[in-house]
Amino acid sequence: MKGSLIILSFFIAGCLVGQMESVPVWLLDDALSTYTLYALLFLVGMSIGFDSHCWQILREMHIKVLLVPIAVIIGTGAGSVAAWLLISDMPMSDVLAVGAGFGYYSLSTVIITNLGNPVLGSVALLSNIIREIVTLLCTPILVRLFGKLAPVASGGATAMDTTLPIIVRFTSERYGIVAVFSGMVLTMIVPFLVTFIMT
Amino acid sequence: MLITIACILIGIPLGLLFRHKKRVVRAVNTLTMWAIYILLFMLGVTTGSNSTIVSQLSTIGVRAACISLLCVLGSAFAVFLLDKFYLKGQFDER
Repeated sequence: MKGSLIILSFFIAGCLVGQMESVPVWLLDDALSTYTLYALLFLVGMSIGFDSHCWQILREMHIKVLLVPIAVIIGTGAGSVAAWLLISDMPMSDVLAVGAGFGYYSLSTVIITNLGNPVLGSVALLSNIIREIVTLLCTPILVRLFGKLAPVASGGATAMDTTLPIIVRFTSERYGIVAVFSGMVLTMIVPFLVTFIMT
Repeated sequence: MLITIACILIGIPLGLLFRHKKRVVRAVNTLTMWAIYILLFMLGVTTGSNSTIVSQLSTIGVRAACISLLCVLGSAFAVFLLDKFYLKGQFDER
């Protein structure tokens, strides 16, 4: 919980800085966050390396690991239907398409906007950013409520990069490997699934 | 996507090499948290400085939040069931 609060305060501080009249240009540059992300992933790779037995688990699990992204797809679909019932004035396919971004906001937003629905594109952008932020902020709570696979599911496609460090931090390196695998499968599926739902 | 995977893959052998050096392990943990803080701060700056997102936040935001929260809960519950009835903690350390 303390971890989440510290992270939240950094995000809020960022929002406040972003609201200022003159934001320093170097802060809006993508390069800084991109290289920070690369550094972060390198550090995550090192933490995976610290646990020398972790590769054993992938060998033991084989096909069973594939069940994780499949469960994430089914659970996300069910959540989208629940959201559609709650919102009530959006077509179900639109809600499903937004949900099928699995946190991969850049790609799902571009696909949805290009398919001729820019308003839905912005909903997809925000929704998938929120999914990533929720995962970053609520991982400790999610682990306590739903177990160690929960942040892997919540992170969706981002479980292989942006949310991976926090997943490893609050579960273990082995779940980090499951997260990378699940995130990769979901990342590859996003463009196909979103296009399929929209057309 | 290739670069992100490459970054992780470069780190793994180095982690294996330094896994018994306590100071390296501690430094990696500290640096990881700070990198997360910086990324979240940057995400905040991007969100706060996008005027379209800020002005339409109420309508777009409520829908987006509703969809993402229910997707998070749905997927978390799905893997909870998967773990409880099929995997039964097989991914845990032994």
